[in-house]
Amino acid sequence: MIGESPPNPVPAVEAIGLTKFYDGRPVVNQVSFQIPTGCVYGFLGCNGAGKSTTTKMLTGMVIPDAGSARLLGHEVSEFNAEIRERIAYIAEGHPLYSWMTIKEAVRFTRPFYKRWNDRLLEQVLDHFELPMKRKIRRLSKGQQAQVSLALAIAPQPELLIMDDPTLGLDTVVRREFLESMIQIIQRQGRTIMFSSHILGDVERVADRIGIMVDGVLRVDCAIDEFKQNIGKMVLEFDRPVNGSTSFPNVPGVVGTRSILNQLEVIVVNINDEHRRLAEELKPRQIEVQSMNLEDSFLEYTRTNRKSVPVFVDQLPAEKV
Amino acid sequence: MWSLALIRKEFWQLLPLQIVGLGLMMLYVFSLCGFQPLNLSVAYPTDIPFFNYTTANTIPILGGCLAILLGFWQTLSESYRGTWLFLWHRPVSRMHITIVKLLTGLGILWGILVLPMLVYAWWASIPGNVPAPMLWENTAMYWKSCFGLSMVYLSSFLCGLRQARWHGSRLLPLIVAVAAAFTLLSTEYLYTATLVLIVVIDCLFLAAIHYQLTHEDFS
Repeated sequence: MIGESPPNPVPAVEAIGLTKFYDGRPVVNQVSFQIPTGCVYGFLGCNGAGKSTTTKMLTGMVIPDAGSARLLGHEVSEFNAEIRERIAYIAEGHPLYSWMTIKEAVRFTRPFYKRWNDRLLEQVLDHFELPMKRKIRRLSKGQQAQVSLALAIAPQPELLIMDDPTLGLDTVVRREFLESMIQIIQRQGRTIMFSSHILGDVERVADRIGIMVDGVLRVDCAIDEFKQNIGKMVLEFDRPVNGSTSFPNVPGVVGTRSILNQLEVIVVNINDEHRRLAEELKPRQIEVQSMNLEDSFLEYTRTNRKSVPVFVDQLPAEKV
Repeated sequence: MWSLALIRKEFWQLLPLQIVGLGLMMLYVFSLCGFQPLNLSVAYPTDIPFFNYTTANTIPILGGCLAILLGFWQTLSESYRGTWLFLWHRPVSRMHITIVKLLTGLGILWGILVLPMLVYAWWASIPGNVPAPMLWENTAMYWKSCFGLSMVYLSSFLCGLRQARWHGSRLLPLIVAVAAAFTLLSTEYLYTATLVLIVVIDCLFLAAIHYQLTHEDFS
C-alpha cells in the first residue's frame, strides 16, 4: 500500500528490562535494547559493568530476576533444540575441553548439529592454520579463540553471541581474530553481538554500540551517532573552581570535572538549556569541544556515575 | 549421535578414576582368589564367598568413595573449566545431556564394581577353588550394595551442580545419601522394601537435579 511503511523485521536480539541481583545488589538493572538482523553490535563496558551477566541472560545461562529476552523472535526461557541450533555462543575465555585435540573437539561437537558444514569448518581451520592433532591445552590463547570460532560457525548460525572474545589476546591476534570473524560470519548477513572492554575492537567492526555502566545500559545507538552527539563544554573561570561551582545535573549531562579554574561538563546532545545553565554560572569563557570515540567512551564510563540514560529511548523510531 | 559423542567424552574424561577404581577392585578380587599381588594380603580365599568382611563392607565403602569421586568429577571439572557454558549451549536439552552423563557415570561405577565380582563369583563357584560352599543367593547383598551406591553417586552429582553455596549446605544431599546408604545397605531384612526405598531416593535426587538444571545460574 502506498505510504505504508514496510513491516518491521523481527530483531535478532530483543532484551526487555533484564535485571539481575547478586547479594541484593543489581548487577544488571532494567536493560532493554534491540539488535536488528544483520547488525554487528558491540557491547561495551568496563570490567564489572554487567556485560557478561547480560550476555549470559541472553543465552539462558543465567536466569533473570526480572525482564525477558527474545532471540530470533523466540523467548530465551522457552528455547528448544531447533532454536539453539540457529544461535552460536562463545563464552568468555573460550571454554573447551583442554584434553581434547582439535580433531576430537570437532568430533565431539559435530553430532549435536543437523546443519553442520564440514566444508566451512575446514576452510576456517585452514584459514587459521590450526594443527588438527594438537591438544587444545597446547594451543595459544589466540588459537583457542580461533577453534572456538570455527566450532561456533560450523553449524551456520544466524546469530553469533560472543562474550569478550578477544580477552587476553595480544593486539595483532585480536585484530586478526575480529577481522576474520566479520569476514566469515557477516558476509552472509548474519547478526553478531560481542562484548568487549576494548573500544578499538568495537570501533573497528561494529555498526552499533551499547555501553553498560554499573549494570545500566547508558548508550544504545550507531557508533557515528554516539561520536557526533557527545561533547564537552569547558567553562573557564577567573578563580579556581575546586568544587565550589557545580553544574546542575540535568538530562544529557554525563559528568563534570573541575581542574584548577576550569569546569569540564560532558554532555550528550548539547542544547540551549545546557548553554543557558553554563552562562548562569558566569564563567569568563565557554568553549564547546568535540570528542573522539575513545575519549567519549572513557568519559562515559569513568566520570559521574549518575549519568542519565541516553539514546535508548530513540530505539523505537529506529526500528523502521 | 550426540549421545555417543558425549558418552565417549565422559569415558575419556573419567579414565584416570576408572583405572584407579578398577585397579583397587582387581587387587581385592585377586586376593579373594588367592593371588596376592604386591603381597598386600587385603583379603583371603578362605573366607566364605560373598559372606565376608571384604565383600560386605570394604568393597561397598570403596565403591562409595568411587561414586562420590565420579559424581564430583563429572560436575566440578565442567565448572572449573567453564565448559558448562559450552555444553549447555548445544542444541539438546540440559536434562537429556545430564541423563547421558548420569548413565555413563552409573555404567562406569557398576562396571567397576560388578564385572570383577562376577568373575570372582564364577571362579568361586568352581568346586575346589574355595574351601566353602559358593551359594549364589549370598551374592544378593553385594548386588544390592552396588545398586544402592547410585544414591551416593546421584547425591554427589547434585552437590557438584549446586554452585556458590556454603560447603555445609552444598554437601547436604551427600550427607543424606551416605546416611541412607548405611541404613539401607547394612540390613539383611526387608530386601524388596529396601530396594524400593533406594529407587524412591534415587528419584528424589533426580528431581532435585532437574530442579537444579532449570533454576541454577551457570556463570
